[in-house]
Amino acid sequence: MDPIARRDQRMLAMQRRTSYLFFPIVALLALSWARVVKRLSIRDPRQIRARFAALIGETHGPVLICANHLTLLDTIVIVWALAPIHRYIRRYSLFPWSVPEKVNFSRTWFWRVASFLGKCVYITRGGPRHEVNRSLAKITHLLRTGEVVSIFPEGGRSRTARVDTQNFTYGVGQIIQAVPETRVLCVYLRGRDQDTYSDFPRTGDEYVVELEMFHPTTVYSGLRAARDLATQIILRLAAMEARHFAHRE
Amino acid sequence: MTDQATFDRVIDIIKPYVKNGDRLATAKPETRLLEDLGVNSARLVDIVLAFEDEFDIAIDDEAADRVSTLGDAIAVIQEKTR
Repeated sequence: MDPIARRDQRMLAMQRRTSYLFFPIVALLALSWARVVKRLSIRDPRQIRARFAALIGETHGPVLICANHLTLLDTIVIVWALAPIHRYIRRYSLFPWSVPEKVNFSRTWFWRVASFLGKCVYITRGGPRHEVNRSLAKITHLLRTGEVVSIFPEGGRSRTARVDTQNFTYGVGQIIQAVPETRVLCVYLRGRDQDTYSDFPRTGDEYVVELEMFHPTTVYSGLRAARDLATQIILRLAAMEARHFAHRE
Repeated sequence: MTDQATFDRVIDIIKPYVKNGDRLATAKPETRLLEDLGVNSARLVDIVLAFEDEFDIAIDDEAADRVSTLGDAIAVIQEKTR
């Protein structure tokens, strides 16, 4: 993987500082919108936050959050579920960097500003190799510097409404190859009424959020290693989903 | 192995990943995997790994990045089997 350019390092540092200054306002606005306008809720948030705190406390080294993906609000739900706002203010590296698709999230000024303040690193799915590599270099740099990064390893919202074990991307595997000490925090989230993928969850929906940390490793190298690592993560999420539905029935 | 033999084997390998099956019947070396044949970009890695298995070669990331058309794929395979 290409090394990160100094200019990109400086830009990320500047983005982090600016984002931190605006974080209380941005977080309050986003959470108010989710809680008041969309009337969303999370089941047992205290338990989830205690588990996240314990998992992070036990872990030394980089942490990559890998979650299933069904709506455009998934990132907000994850941030909301894992810790209260004041905890992110005290330890801003826990507020995860996100990796949204550039085409979808840079269309308007609103999304560009929101992405900048929301600690986002754009990626172009299926884009030119040098652009994708530049994004991956930024992500690995962030992990190495102790920042938590959040990614949707399926590469998009699942069209099957279940963790897609057939059509996922291997980019997450390349990231772990580059930073092999990375621990993966698998986050399985699902709204009670979320039967399929959508832009937004149904108003009034309640989310269940489950967490599992593991350290993916591989005996392979090159592209085969990236595929193997990405597959391990997807299968872990699929197993969490199977347990979720077994428990629900 | 002749260019045509390699081409035929490449076609067989990529067949399961192709969405525009009609284009495959008239495919030429200039045919682009993503744009013309509708291969999902994420599946390019699977195709490259299938080339490795089928031709018993190792394709590094740099060579894999060069695979854009059928002709590119054949060139990489021939370079590695030489």
